[in-house]
Amino acid sequence: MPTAVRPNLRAKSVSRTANPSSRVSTAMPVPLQLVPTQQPSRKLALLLKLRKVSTPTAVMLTLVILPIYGWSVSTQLSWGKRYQHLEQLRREERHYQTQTETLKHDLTQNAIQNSAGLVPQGPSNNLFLPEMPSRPNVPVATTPPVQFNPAASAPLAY
Amino acid sequence: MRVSAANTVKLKSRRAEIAARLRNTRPINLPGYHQRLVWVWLLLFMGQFGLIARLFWLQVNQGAQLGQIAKDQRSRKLSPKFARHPIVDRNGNILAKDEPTFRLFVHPMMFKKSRADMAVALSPLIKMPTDELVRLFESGKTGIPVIRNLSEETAANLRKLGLDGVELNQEWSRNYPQKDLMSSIVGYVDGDHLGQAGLEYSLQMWLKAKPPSEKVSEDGNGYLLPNQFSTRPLNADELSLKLTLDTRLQWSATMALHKKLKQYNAVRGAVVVMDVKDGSLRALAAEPAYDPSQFYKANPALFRNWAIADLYEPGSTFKPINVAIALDAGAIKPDTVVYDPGNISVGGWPIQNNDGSAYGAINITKVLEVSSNIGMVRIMERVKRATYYDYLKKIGIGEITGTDMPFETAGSMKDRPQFVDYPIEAATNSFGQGFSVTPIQMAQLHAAIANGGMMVTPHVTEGLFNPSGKLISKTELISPRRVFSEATTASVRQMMASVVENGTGKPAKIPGYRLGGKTGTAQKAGGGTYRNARITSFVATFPAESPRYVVFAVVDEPKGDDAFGSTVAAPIVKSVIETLISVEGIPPSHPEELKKPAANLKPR
Repeated sequence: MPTAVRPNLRAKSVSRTANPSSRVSTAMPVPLQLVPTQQPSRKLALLLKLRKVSTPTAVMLTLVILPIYGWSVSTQLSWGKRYQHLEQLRREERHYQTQTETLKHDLTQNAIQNSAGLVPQGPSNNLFLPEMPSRPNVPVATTPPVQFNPAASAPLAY
Repeated sequence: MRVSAANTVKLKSRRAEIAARLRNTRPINLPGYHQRLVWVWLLLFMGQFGLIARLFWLQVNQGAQLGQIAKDQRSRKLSPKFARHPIVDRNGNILAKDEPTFRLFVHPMMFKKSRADMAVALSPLIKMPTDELVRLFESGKTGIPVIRNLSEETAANLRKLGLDGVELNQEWSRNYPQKDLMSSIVGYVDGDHLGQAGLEYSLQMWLKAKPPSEKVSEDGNGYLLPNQFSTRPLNADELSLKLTLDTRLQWSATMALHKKLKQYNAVRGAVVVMDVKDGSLRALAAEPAYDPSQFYKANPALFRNWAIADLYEPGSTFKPINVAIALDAGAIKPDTVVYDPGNISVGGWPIQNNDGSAYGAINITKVLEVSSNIGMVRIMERVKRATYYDYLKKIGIGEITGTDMPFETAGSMKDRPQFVDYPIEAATNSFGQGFSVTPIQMAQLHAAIANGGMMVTPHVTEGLFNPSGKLISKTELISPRRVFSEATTASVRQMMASVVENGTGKPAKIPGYRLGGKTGTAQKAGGGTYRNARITSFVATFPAESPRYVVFAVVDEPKGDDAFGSTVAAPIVKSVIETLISVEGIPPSHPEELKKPAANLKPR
């Protein structure tokens, strides 16, 4: 704790310099009187206590927040990368959709023009099953659990 | 020892003296120290105040403005995925779809490399020979168009090269994977991406996709950041226009039509498959057709779908409509008998049956079965001509149907005084001549017979749907209105079923199923008189027991002596209905007539 000093008024008139060598050669200065050490006021004590608590808290919080901040930045970045990837996939999907439709068209046209044994679907090659009434719910028969008989299942011979 | 003790005391006092002297040599405050302190404090305070004031000015006064500038710097709009919404059929098959393409421009004055080096760098990516590129680069200083329709991938690779003086402009190309199959309905877009025919033209405003308006932020590397993204799904604005058409049915209709057009060397043809409950079209084939991606090679006449835009005299396919009018007006009953002498004269004009035969006393069903013109004249003579005219107006003859497809033409018919005063007008109208309709209107009229008397509006659009299948908007159509009573249409349907069972519609008969039908072979009018050319048609309502579909085929100017509705158009309708059966899974009403497929299978 810094010691409060109060200048001696008399000393002021004697010497204007703090140089000890010069002081030694001249009249001995009257020492500065020490201000009696006072107990810090309650307010100051409170503030000092607060500082004692707040400084480590601030350090700890900084240590905690830094990784969180880093995480938030990295998630945003990885989100951005994933989004770009998604956009790429969607672009490819759109491209493939068009390709698929073109292929479907060309296949149909080929099937019609070259008629490679393909016949158009019609009533003559469709199977119509008569509508059946829904069966009533039959409770599943509970079968007794299989009894394991070690004697019976033992190998007869090796 | 004593000496040493005395020395120690001396030493201690000496130390104390030095310590005291040291204490006394602490700096002493020079005069004016208070003033200096105040100045320093004031300087620091002013500095700090200045900083705080500046911060306040920036944060509070200019905060919003500066914040916006910063936001603008790090935010951008998302690039649009489509300029026009895609068009899909009822099963989601793509009929039209936008693809982003890029156009490459070069500005040789901005090149940092030599022209030859630039050509070498660009050549493999855009697949153009180096010498051609060098020649292009020498043709000007700036703004030289090099190539169009570059894919997104090529554009990305070009950007990666990071060359100066190279510019890529995004454009859109419309892809039509179904080629000419749907062109008569879907239409095409021109080089400026504007619809010029079909739905692309008529639904221009609907199809125009709204570019993304929300801005999102991006980091220094160009990666987007999530904070400004809306919480809606990313593809929420990617709507698609869904049609009522079925690609499979359209194939069947087109192929059947194509076959007959070729066989009879006909000029053109159309097939309409309509759901009679709501007027939605399941297929609308019009031949010949064009490839929308090469519209510039096509005959411009094909850009209008002739089934909607062109008029024709319907002939005998209109007879069931006339019978419905007579029944509804109470002029005849289903069992009324009329006399067909084979030859009559109305207002001095001779009228005879198509084949010249006389059928004598025949009932209404027989009139339709044999398609007797004279029988029809006799039936319609029983309806007052004014009433007849009013009925024709009521069912929309001479009007448009109000379909959502473009270029629809209103039918034509004589004006009321002429129709009422001259008996020949009503007489010719009774067998479907003397007035004209579009093929789509004929399908609409028969749908009214099939669905119990309601006039529904033919349409091909189901609406704009979002990716999760929710309807966003729908076209406004004329609401259904009643034109015939249920009893009337039931009688006519029965008669039409008899036409296929026993009459001219036999070629359309499908084992296991019942359908109603009517053939039509009309002479074509031209130059104020009837020409030798004919227009053949066949209309069917299917299934006869409770009709769900109307299938209508019309073939213009088939050549050959055997070119009639029953030989040209009926087989087309039969083939389309067969596909319809398998597409919709319609079970046979008379399964005993079906050949058992199991009998054809050989045991392995």
